[in-house]
Amino acid sequence: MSRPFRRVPAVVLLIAVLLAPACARREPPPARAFDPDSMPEAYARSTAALMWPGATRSWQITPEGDLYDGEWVVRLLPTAGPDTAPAPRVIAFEDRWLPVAHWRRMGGDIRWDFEAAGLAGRAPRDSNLVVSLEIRATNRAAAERVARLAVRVEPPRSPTFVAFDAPESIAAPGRLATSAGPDTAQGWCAKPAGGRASLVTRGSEIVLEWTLGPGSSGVGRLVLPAYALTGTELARRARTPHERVIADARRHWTAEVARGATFSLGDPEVESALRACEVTLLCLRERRGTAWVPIGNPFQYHDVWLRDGARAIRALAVLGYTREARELCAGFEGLQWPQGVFLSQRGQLDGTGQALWAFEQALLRPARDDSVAHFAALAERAWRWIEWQRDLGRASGWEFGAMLPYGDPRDGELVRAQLVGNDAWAIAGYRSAARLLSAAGRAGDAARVERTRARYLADFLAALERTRREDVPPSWQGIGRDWGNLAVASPCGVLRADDPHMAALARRVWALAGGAGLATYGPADSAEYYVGADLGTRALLAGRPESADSVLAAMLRWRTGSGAGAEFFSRSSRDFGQNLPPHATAAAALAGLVRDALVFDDGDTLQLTLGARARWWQAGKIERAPTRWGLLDLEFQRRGDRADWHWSPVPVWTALTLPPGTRIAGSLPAPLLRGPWERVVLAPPGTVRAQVRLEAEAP
Amino acid sequence: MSGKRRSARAERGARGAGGPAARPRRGSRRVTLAIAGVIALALVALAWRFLARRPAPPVVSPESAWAEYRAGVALGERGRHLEGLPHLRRALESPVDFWAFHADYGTALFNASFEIGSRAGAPCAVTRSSWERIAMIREAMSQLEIAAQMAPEPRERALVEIRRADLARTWGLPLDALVAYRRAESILPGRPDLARRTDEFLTLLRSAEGPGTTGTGAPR
Repeated sequence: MSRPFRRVPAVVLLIAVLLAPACARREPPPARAFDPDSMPEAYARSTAALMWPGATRSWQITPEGDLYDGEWVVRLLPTAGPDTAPAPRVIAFEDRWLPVAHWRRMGGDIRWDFEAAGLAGRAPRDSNLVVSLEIRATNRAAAERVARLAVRVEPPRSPTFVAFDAPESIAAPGRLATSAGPDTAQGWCAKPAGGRASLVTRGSEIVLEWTLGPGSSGVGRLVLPAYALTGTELARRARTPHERVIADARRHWTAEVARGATFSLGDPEVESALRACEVTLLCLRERRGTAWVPIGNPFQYHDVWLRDGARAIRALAVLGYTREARELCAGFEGLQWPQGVFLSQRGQLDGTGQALWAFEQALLRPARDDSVAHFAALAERAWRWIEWQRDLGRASGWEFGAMLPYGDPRDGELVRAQLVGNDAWAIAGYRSAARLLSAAGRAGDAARVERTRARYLADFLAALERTRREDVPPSWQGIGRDWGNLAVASPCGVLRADDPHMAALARRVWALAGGAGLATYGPADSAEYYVGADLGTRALLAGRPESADSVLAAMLRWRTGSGAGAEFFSRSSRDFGQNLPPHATAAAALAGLVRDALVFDDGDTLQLTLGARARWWQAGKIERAPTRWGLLDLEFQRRGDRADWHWSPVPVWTALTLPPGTRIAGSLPAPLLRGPWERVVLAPPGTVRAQVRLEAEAP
Repeated sequence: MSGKRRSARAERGARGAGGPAARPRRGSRRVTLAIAGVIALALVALAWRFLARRPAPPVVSPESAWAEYRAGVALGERGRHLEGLPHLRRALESPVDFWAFHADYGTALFNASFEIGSRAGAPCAVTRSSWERIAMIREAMSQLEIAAQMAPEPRERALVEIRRADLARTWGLPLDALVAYRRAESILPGRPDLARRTDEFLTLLRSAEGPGTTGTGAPR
């Protein structure tokens, strides 16, 4: 061996040693025995979505334990002798967030375990989500048993949703391929393994059968693309072992959640809920040419709404997915009309304010984006349209003429009236337009927008006065269901969080639900998952963290085994009917409320630990959280009678909220000052560390 | 050309003229240039032939433009607006630049944005999502704007304004609709039907409140 080559092993060893920690960090969590029925499931019927960002179809794992892609149902009929296994109790994701789905069906002496994950491949339109499904039949009896699984690909009967590109009618059953070939098929069925196994094709049905000794298992596998593929292509896909697909899915999603802001709170439930929200929000995006658009849901809400998309953009922005949030802003550009208004659905006039707010939320965090001048110009056009509307309305001399005209949103308030939420969002949009113009170096234009905002605000307060209501009504005419009015204080910033009107509104809404928690929509039994989250943030800002925490607790409770929230459901029957989870705004609301409880940056002060739970105070840590003043790292801890904060310096004052049940003991060390509430301490710009002595709050 | 390159060429020329050894090289360069020229000419000739033989983009004749237009309108009258769009688009590609082609294409786009079809036996919007619907509406507004500019007679201009008003009204922009209705009225003053339409709409605007619409094909 020549001299240079003698050094090679040493160099290789050195490189291996250096790279080992990095490689180790990329490893996904190891697979482990997982009982899906041990996972909490809030709803009467369990369901889950296997999704992928950009994929035009998703797979629903139905409450019956079948799979449905909007065109075909892959029906799974497991039997053991005369016993057909009933529907699964819980369809769960690993740790209630990682999209590797597990469900279990018990039939006679056979336990059926299902494990599925999806990875994207190519498709005629966009990514083709291909699911690998493993079925494991285990004989729990002391004697030999026969386990049989019939698999059929059928057209849906009374479907809850239909894929946008499904054909007009689907009459004939589909088929599963078992060998390579040019004909297309809806899936692939591999030869079963374990025990004495057989595969029989009976017309359009495939039957897998195992004769299993006591305690032994048989394994089957299906590969299911969201769009039919040729037998040859399916055979190619099936060559990737199921274990590899699962490992790749774990690795991918673990890396995806790691690249956002990280929240280490010592609270596994909240941390896994945040991850589930991130997966949902990342998946509920679709391409339109080079643009990305947010969709409401992979199933029945497979459409674009400004009201839901704006919330998704904000959540992605504050969770650290800056690129994705900004790409969605670019997608919103397609929803601006020539006259300047942003409108995605008929009669939903809140869209303009929401679009401007979303632009600001995404483009100014953690630093201004290069495209800000472009979006400022779009915002300016939108602002002109609203001003024009207000000018016309004022000239009419009508009672609420200065407010936006009537809307019939076919949603939310569910009335035709002048909706308070439309004006609240418009005013929020003015604030965002001014911030965008200012960031674009157009200080004069920003000041002009601010002046009109002040006037709009005054008109809003005058209109509220004219309603003679103690709270904030859904519409200026007083009719309708609570919806946009719930956002008046936060995020719209039209009324202060501690405004008596907002307090009265929160009392009224929560009284219907029996206390702070989810809002009620329509009948008292009907709960709405996300719309009340704004009241939660309002409670945080009003110094009522316990109310916000009740809202958060309800949102954490009402989730599926896969970590998703349904939009509406019956409190008594726990049924979401045809309104299938996951919902993008539900994910955005939960993630937004947790983030607001820790970091709030919408005002002129950075507010930290506004609603941090006692448990989070053991050693809370946040890394790379985008704020309007850059990326923020925060550590906070309570040790006995001391609270410590350590955070990235910001050029504005920071308001620090003390742990629950405590107040300041003695005097504060310089340069800290007492805040507007008893439990708030103010730190001047540039401060990076604070320590405060605590004592128990008076009962 | 830069001065540096000029002087380099002059230098090469001087060297070439300096002795016999340069002559064969200069001669071979001439041959090379000649061959290159011939090849270039051949390529140009081939390209010319290819381009000349390539079928010209189809020109929609005035007669077929009218036929396409009528087919598109007829499909729209049967509620098949989306299906009618390609016909109306082809009519617009013809040399016939007629205001009604733009007006009816814009109207068909508007109507198609609400069209309900069927998928897997279930009623569904024929468009994929609101993103496509708004793209259609933006194009519809642009076409109606062209039609308004082109329409020669007041009656026709008023008709375009009414269509713009209907679009704004249906999409929930009542003040935009009111302004367009008034524009129509001002184009044809003294028309009682137009005045009545504006008055009715004003009444609706004043008494804004009412039960909301549900179950309109939107998912919620």
